[in-house]
Amino acid sequence: MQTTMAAQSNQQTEVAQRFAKLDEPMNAEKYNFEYFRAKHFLEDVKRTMAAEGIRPGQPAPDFELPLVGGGRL
Amino acid sequence: MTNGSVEPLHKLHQRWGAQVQFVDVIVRQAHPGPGMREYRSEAEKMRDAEKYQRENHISWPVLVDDLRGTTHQVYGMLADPIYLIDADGRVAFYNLWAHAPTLHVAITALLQRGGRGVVNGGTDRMMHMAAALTDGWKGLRKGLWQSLTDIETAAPGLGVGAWLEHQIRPLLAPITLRAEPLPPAAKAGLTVGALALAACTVWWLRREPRRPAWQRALRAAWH
Repeated sequence: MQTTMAAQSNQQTEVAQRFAKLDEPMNAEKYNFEYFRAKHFLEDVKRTMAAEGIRPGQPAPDFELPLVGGGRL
Repeated sequence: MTNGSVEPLHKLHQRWGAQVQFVDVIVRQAHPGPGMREYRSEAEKMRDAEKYQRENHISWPVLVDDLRGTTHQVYGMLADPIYLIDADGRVAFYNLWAHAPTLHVAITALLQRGGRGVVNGGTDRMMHMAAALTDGWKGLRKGLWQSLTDIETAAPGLGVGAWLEHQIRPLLAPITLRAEPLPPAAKAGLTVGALALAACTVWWLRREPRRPAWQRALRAAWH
């Protein structure tokens, strides 16, 4: 219950807004793959070469997630 | 983060924990298998995060991303990244593949300039694998045999390499699981050692093989 509430609050954060603007956001099933395949390794290499993520100097988007032991951060 | 990052980050936390707030975010199973299935619910993910914090004695906050990895996807979705955020909430340094010595240098630089701004070029893109290979077997072992066969199929050598490095962990850990850069003398020593090893290997491969007596007699008769 607490986890669900925290996930819901994360939906209002900058991270959620940026997620909505991603070109190809993954759904939960694709994101949590069952088998690690060569395509996952190659995606890691590709993301590394492109330095995907938040660029240095940019504001780190806020997020709010459940904390182990209770509460949110 | 991967298993290989735990020990180096503990060392970093001991050194910098009073000045830098450490935060862990649990994302997804990188190498699922029977003993550590891919996450199917947020409750399952939370339970695994609790176990991770307890078993690894993590003293800093551990957060749990939602099931589809919203935060992870926005932050680049790499397997083992570390962001160093400055006092203004901006990215000061992006370590795409966690490497404690690199982060140690970045933290030092950031604190020297008052905790603000981009440091050390802002990005380290090198795929640091040494720590993951030294301590990665702990994770792969939980998912045997699927985790091992999957990683060997996807990236041949990585799974077996993790097992081999696990066998000689006491020898490698002081180098691969360190939290600070090696001193110049140690770097020079390792370079000389690596060159000597390469030279010995070349010599061994090129040497005349020792043949059995019957083969030597046959070759002599032939010539």
